[in-house]
Amino acid sequence: MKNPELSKLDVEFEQFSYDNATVRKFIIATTIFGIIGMLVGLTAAFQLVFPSLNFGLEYTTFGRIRPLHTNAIIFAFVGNSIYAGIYYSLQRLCKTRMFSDLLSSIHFWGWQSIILAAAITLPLGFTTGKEYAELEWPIDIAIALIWVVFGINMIGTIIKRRERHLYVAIWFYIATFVTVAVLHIVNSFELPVSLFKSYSVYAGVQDALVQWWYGHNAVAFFLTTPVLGLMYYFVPKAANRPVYSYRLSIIHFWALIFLYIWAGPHHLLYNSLPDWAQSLGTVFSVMLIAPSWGGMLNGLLTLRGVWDKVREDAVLKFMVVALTCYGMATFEGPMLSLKNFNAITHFTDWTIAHVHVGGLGWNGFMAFGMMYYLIPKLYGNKLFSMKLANFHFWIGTLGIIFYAIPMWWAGFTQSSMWKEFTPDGRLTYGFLETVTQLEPLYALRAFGGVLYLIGVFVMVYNLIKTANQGTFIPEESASAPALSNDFQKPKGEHWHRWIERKPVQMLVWSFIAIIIGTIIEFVPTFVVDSNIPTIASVRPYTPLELQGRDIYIKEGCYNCHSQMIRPFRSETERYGEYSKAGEFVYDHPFQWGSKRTGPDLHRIGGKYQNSWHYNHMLDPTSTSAGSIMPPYPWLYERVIDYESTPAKISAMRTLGVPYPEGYEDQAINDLKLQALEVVDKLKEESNTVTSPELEIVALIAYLQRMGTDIKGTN
Amino acid sequence: MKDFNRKKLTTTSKKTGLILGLLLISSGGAFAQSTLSETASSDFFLWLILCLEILLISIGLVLIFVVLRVNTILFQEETPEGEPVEEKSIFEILSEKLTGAVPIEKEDDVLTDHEYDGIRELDNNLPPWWVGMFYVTIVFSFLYVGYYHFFGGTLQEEAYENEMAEAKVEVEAYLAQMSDLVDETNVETLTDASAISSGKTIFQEKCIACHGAEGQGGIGPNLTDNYWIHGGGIKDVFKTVKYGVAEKGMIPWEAQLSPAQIQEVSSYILSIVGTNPPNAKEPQGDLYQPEGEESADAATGDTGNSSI
Repeated sequence: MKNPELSKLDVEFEQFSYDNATVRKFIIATTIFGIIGMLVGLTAAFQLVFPSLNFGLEYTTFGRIRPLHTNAIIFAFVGNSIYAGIYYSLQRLCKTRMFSDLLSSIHFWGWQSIILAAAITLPLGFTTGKEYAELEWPIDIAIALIWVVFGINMIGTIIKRRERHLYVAIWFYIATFVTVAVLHIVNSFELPVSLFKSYSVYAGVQDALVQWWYGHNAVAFFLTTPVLGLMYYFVPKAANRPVYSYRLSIIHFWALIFLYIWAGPHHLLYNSLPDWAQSLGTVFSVMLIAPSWGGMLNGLLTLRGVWDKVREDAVLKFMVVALTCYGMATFEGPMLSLKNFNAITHFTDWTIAHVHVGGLGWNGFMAFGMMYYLIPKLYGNKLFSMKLANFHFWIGTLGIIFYAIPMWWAGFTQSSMWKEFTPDGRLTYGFLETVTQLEPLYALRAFGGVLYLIGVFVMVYNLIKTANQGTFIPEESASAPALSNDFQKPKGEHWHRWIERKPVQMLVWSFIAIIIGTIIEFVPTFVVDSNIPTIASVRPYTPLELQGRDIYIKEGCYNCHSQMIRPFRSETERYGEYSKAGEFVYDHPFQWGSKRTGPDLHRIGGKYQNSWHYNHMLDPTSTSAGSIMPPYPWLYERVIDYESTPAKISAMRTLGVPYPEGYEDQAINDLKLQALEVVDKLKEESNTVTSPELEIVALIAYLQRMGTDIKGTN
Repeated sequence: MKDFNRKKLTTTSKKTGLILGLLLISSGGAFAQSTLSETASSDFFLWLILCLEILLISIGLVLIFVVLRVNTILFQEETPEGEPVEEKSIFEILSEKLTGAVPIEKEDDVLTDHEYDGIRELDNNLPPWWVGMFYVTIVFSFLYVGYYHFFGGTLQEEAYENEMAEAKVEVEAYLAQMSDLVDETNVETLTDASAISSGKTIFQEKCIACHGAEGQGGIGPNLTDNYWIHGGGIKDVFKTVKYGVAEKGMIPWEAQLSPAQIQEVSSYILSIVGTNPPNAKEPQGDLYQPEGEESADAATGDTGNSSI
C-alpha cells in the first residue's frame, strides 16, 4: 500500500527545509492577541453587571470595546492561529518550503500592523458601524492587500509542491482564501468622507443584506473552513490514524461551501428584508446541518480505535471537545434559523451563547490543541506538563459551560418577559425590568469567562516552559522527490482526483460555488423595486440629524440598541408601528443591530421630550432607575464638527440621497438653526440651558427624528 | 488499571450522551413554547414543528448511538484473544448499521493509496443516517419554500395582522366579563389611604424621573400647583396619564398600567396638589377652576380643594 510514486526506485530526492520561524511568530501573536481579546471581552461582560467599569472614559464604553473584542478575537486571535496552522501544515502537505520568505514576512508584519491599527482606531470611535467590519476604509484597503499577499504566498506554495494531489485540508484553505477576499471587498465598498470616516455605499435593506451575507460568511469562511482544514491535518497527525472517509470529505466540502453562502438572511428574519430572501436564509441554513456535521463526523470517526489515546493526549482532548462544540453550534444554528425559534431568540443573549459555543469551544479549543501540538514539535521536545494541560482542558470546558448555560437561560428568560401580556392586553414587563432580571446571569457568564481565561494563562505558562526546555528549530530539513512530468492517470481512480491535481481549477470552482448564491440573493434585492417599496414621506436627514447619526455610530449604540421593530404584537405594543423597508433608504449604513441589551430605538423619535434625552445621556439612571447604560458626559463638552458637514452632504448625494445641488453651502447654516430649536425646546421644557454647539444637541436631533417619517401616514 | 480507565471513559461518553440529550430536550422545550407564542398562526405550523421535534429527537438518539459505538470499538479492541466474544447488543447492531463503516480490523480494504505527510485516507461509506438527514433537510427546504411562497402560507405581515386580531378578540372577551372597569368617562377620585399609598408607589416608580420625587416638576411640569396644561380634574389627569401627550413627551401609560392603577396614581397626584415642595417648577398651563358636579365631587374629597 505504499504510495506508487514513491516506490519508484529511480527518483531523486531533493533537499529543502521548512520555515518554522514564521509559524512560531504567528503562534506568539495568537497567544498575545488571544489574551488581549479575551480580557477586553471580559471587561465588556463585567460592564453589564457594573456599568461604571468604563471608568468614565469614552474609549472604554461597551459600545466601543465590544467591536474591539469581536475584531480582536476573530481577526487577531483566530486569524493568527489559522495562519500558524496553515504555514505549518501547508509546507508539509505540499512537501515544499513556503513560496516566498519575503511574502511570509510581509504577511505577518502587515497583519499585526492591521491589528494594531484596529486596537487604536476602534476605541477612538473610528468605525463604519457594520458589525465585524467596523474598521475604516484605509485599514480595509490594508486588509485586502495583506490578504492578497497571503493568497499569493499560499497559491505559490501549492504550485511549486512536490506532492501530486492536494489533501482535503488544502481545499479548505483555497476556498477560504477566495471567499474571504470576495466577502471583504464587496462588504467594504464605502465612500470616504475623510481619512477616518466613510459611508457604506449600500443603504438600509440592501446594506443589511450585504452586511449579513458578509457577517454570516465571516463565520463560515474565516472561523469554520480554515479551521476545518487545520482539523484535517492535526487530528489524524495527533491520533496517528487515517482519515475516516475520503468520499465524506469530498461531499461535505463542496456542499458546505456551496450552501453556506446563502444562509446570511437568517440574521434578518422578521426584519424588513423581503420574505423570499428570508426563506432562502432559513432553508439553506437547515440544509447546512449535514454538510457541517460531515466535518465533525470525519474528525471524530478518525479517532475510531484510539479513544484511549484521547484520554492521555492533550492535543486530541482539546480537538474532540472542539469538534463536539462545532457539532452543537452547527446544529443550533439551523434551529435558530427557523422562524418560530428565531422569533424567540433573536435580539437576545441566546445568540451570544451560540456564538461563544463556536468561539470558545470550536475556535478556541482547536487553537489550543494545535498549539499543544506545535510547540513541542517546533522545539523538538515534549510538553512541559501534562497535568497543567489537563487543568487547562477542564477549566476551559467548565468556562464554556458557565458561559453558555447562563446566556441560553438569559435569552429565553428575557424573550419570555418581552412577550408576556396581562389578560387585559398590557405588556407585563417594562423593558428595564427584563434587563435587571438578567444581571445574576450576566455575572455568572463573566465568571465563566474568568475560568476560561485562567486556562489560557496556564497554557501560556506551560508552552513557555516547554519552549525554554527545548531548542527552537527555525529550519526543519526535509527531502522529497520532485514531481515528474510523465504522470499517468491511474485506471479507475476516483473522479475527484483530477481536481486535486489542479489547484487553479480548485480555486475557480470554489469561486463558482460561492458566487451562485451571492448573485441569486443580491441581484433581485438591488434591481427589483418591489423588494423595497418606496414611502413618499421618508425624507433625507437634516445636516444636524446626520451629524447626530454619526455620533450614534461613533459611540457604537448599535451594539446594544436595535432599530428594527419586528411585526409582533409584543413589539408594536412596546415600541410602535413595525419597521418598513422603505424607511431605511437613506441609511448609509443601516443600524438595525443584532442584540437588544437596551430597547429598540426605531420609534424613539417624539416619544420623550428633549430634556428626557438630555438628562438620560448625562446619567441614564436619572430617568431609568437601574439602567446599565453608561453616562456619556463627553457629549456635553465636545463641539459638533461643523466643517465636515458639506463633505458629508456631498458624499451622501453621490450615494443617491436627494439633497438639492449646492445644498452644501446652506447645510451648516441649517444645522445651526435646527440646533437652536433643540436648545430652545430644552429651555422651554425644563429650564435646561445648554450651548447649541454641543454634540448632545445633534444626537438629540437624530433621536427625535428617528422613525417619525411615517407617523400619521398610516 | 486498564479496566478502570475503560470504565472511566465509558462514563465520560455516557455523560456526553446525556448532555447532548439534555440539550436536545431543552431546545425541544423551546419549540413547544414557540407554538404558543405570538407568531404561530396555523395548525400547519404546529404540525411542522412536531415533525421537526421528532426529527431532532431522532438525531439525538443517533448521536448517542455514535457515542456508544465508540465504546463498542473500545470494548472489542480490549477483549483478549481467545475469550468468547461478547454478543452484539441491539445498540451495537444499530450503530454499525448507522455508520455503515468497515470494522477497524478490515480497514485495509478501504484504505486508499493517498498519503500526505504521513496522513492516510480511508474511504468508508457515508453514514446512512447522515445521508438520510441530508435528504430530509433538502426535502424540507422544498416543502418550506413551496408552502410559504406558492401555496399560500402565512408570511410575516399577514401573520401579524392575524395575531393582532386574535389578541383583540381575546382582550375584549376578557374585558367584557370585567364589570368594574374604570375609564376616563367614569373615573372618580379615590381618597382612602390604601389607594393613595399604592398610587404613591406607582408614582415613585414611574413618574419621578420627569416630574420629580415630590411632584415638583423637572423634565415634565410641576404637579403640585393649580396650573394644568391638560386639565386638573380627575378625568383630565386620568386621560393624560392613560393616553399621554405625544407632542409634549408625556408617554402613554395604558400599555403598562391597568385602569385601576391609573386611577390610583391620578388620585395620588391630585392629593399632592398644594403641597408646595421645595424647588418647584414655575407654573405652566392654565389655572384650573373646578366646575359642575364633577368638581364638586372632587371638592368634597380632601384632594385639591385646599387651593380653591
